[in-house]
This record gives sequence, C-alpha cells and structure tokens, in this order.
Amino acid sequence: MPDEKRDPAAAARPSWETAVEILPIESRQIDFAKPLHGTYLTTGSRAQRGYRLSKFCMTFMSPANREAFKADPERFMREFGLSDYEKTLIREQNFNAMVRYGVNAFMIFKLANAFGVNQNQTGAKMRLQTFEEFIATRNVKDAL
Amino acid sequence: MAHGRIIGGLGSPHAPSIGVAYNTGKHETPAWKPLFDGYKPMQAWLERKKPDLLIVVANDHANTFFFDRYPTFAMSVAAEHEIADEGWGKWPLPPVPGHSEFAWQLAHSLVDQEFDIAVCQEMPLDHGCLTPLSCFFPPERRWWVPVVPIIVNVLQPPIPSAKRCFDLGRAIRRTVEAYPKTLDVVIAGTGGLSHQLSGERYGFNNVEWDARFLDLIESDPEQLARMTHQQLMERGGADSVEEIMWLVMRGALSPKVRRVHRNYYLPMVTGFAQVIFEDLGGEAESREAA
Repeated sequence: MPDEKRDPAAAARPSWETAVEILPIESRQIDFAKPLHGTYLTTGSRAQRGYRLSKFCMTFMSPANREAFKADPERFMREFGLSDYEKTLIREQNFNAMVRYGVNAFMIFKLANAFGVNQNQTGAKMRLQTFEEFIATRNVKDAL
Repeated sequence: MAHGRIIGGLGSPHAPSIGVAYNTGKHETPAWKPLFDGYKPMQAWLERKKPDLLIVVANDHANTFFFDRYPTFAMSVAAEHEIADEGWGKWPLPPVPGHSEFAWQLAHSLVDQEFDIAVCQEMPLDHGCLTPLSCFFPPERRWWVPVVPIIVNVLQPPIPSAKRCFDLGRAIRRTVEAYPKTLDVVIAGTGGLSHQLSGERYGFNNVEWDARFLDLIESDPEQLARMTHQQLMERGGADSVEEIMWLVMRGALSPKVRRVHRNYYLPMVTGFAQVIFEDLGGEAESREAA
C-alpha cells in the first residue's frame, strides 16, 4: 500500500493493519470484495475490534474525563483497561491506524480534540500529509 | 375537516464547522459568506410560511447514541431536547422544543406502516440537528418552531438503503396528511454532499456528481433511491452516503416540487448544498398505491 512508504513505522505493526481487509459479509448495498481506496467502513469484525477504543473515545464527552486524561494520560488509559496496542495508537496519535483498527472518525475527533488537534489536522494526518500540505489542496483555505 | 399537510422541504448540510462559524459570528467573512448567504432565503421562507412543525432528518455522530445500542431509525417524542457535549463542551444554545403530541402519532403511524423506528423520550442533539437549526433560525428567533428529530444510522453499516429512506419519507407524508388537526409541516433533510472524513481518502470531493445529485433530488429522486451505498460512496466519498437523509425529505414531498432556492459551496472538505422545495400537493392517493 502506498502509505507504507510514507509511514516507515507501518512495517513494525500487526499484519492486519496494513493488509487489505475483506470482511466475510454479503450485502446488497456494499461490495466488500471491492473496498474503496483509503476507506475503512466501521462494520463487522473491524467494528468489533475497535469497540473498546471507540468506547474509550466516548468518555471525552465528559469534561471531568477530558481533564483527567490531559492531567495524566497514562493513568487514564490504564484505568480504562486499554490494550498495549491501543495505548500505542493513542500515544502516537496514529489516527489512520485507529480508523483501520475499527474506530469511527467521529470518535477519533473527540480523542484528537483532547490533544488539541482539530478535525482537519486529524484529516491531514490520515492523508499522511502535513496540515499545510493538506490545506494547499482546498478551495478556501481559511474556511476553518 | 382540519388536517396536517407538508408544505415544503429543506436541504441543508450539517457540518459542525458551519454551526461553529455561525455561532462565533464568522458568517460575514469572505470564507463563509457564500454559504451563509444561502441560508438567508431559507430564514425568510420559514418566516413567510410560518410552519407549525419542523421535522429534521439527521444522523447522530456518536453523541446521542453509541455502538453499544445503535438504532437504524430513531425519533424523539420528547417535549424538549438538551444540547449534547460532543467532546469539547456544549454549544451555547437553548434546549430545542419538541412536539410530543404529533411525535407520538408519528411513532404509531410509522410502526403501523412497518417502519419499526426506535422511540426516544430523551434525545440530546448534536451538530447533525443543531447546525441546520442554528442557520434556519437566527439567534433572536430561536426556536420559534417546534422540532421532531428523526435520526438515521449512517455511521455503522448495515445502514438503511436509499430506497428505504425514500419510502420512510412517504410514510411520514401519509402520517401528516392523516393528522386530524391543522398542522403545516416542513421537513428538512440534512447532510453534506460529497465528502469523506476518514482514511487516506479524507477530503475527497466530486463537484460534478454533487450538481447531478441536486438535479436528481429535485426531478428524479427515484433514480437516486435505486442507488446502492457502494455507488454513492464511489461517487461522493464514504460519508456522502448521508445523502440518504435528503431522500427521506424528498420522499415526504409531492412527486413534482417547485424549487425556489438552490445554493452550492465547497470551501474545505464537504460539498455544502441548500435547497427549498415547495410542495405541490395532490397525488397522495397514487403514492399510497405505489
């Protein structure tokens, strides 16, 4: 996959993360045998794998939890019971790997915000670009 | 005999950036004016038509619901709706009034018509509803029309088909027309046109397809209702599948509509479109038979 070249750490991650995942699901609406480039739908085994991390992101809807995470992220992650890999994804702010892992973008935005990273900065990272590179591709660069 | 009627439909994006821009006074800046100018005719139209009720078809963004229990279709019968904290504090907006009397009738009528919708007595609203509402009603006019929110799952497949959403709109129309009181209803379908908010394809757009979608939603919505999610996502990006909520709105309207407003603006990551369709009435019986 093209992003591996731009993301050298990818080789050290579990094989499923960079493999093209085909969920064994028959659907009239989605052709799972023809996944769209750069697109990871939150469903099936992927959604199930991402469930705990998704649930973790939901805790940021509480101001007290946001403050607790900011004050001591390691403790907050430990007390929630995240796996080592999930903690690594958070420490690295590896938002695209979270998407591939099974976390929906709207959960990731809650987590990113706790790091002071906004939606388009999150998106730029998902595209494996700097924020400046990403903004250069937009029609109206100050519509933020 | 008194009865309800659908008087028109609105189409609007619901991106949080829009609500934030409006609520922080950026709407006159060059970056945002082309969008917010598109809301002025909508505000004026609502003031002129004086609806008794606004049905807003939106999706949750993991603020009202979570994947522990995720409804395909949900609606609120609550008298009032709190503002959700999406993860960065609540928007400074007053609670949104509901319309319990009509909503309970809608719940029964939809389930009678085999749309087995989840019925909610509490429904904190997120930007899916709050962005369009903020823009339809300027600050001094919040919220002069009660709102019945209908929430569609577009986050975790399986999500309902475009046809199912179109048919849900038809079922809503039948409910309104059978309502035994005078009730002028406007229905809003919300969501961005082309956009994708995750993966390497973040930021995908398709301006040509967006224009085609706007033509079809007006003149041939059944063609859109025949499209699969795969086709919608290929053309418009994964998150453009929320266009199915525009089909709920369109399904609730007369087969032919009078378009009195259309605007399109793509500043950043989402194709923003606004429309006003006026209902031309009639033909309810043939629709029932269909």
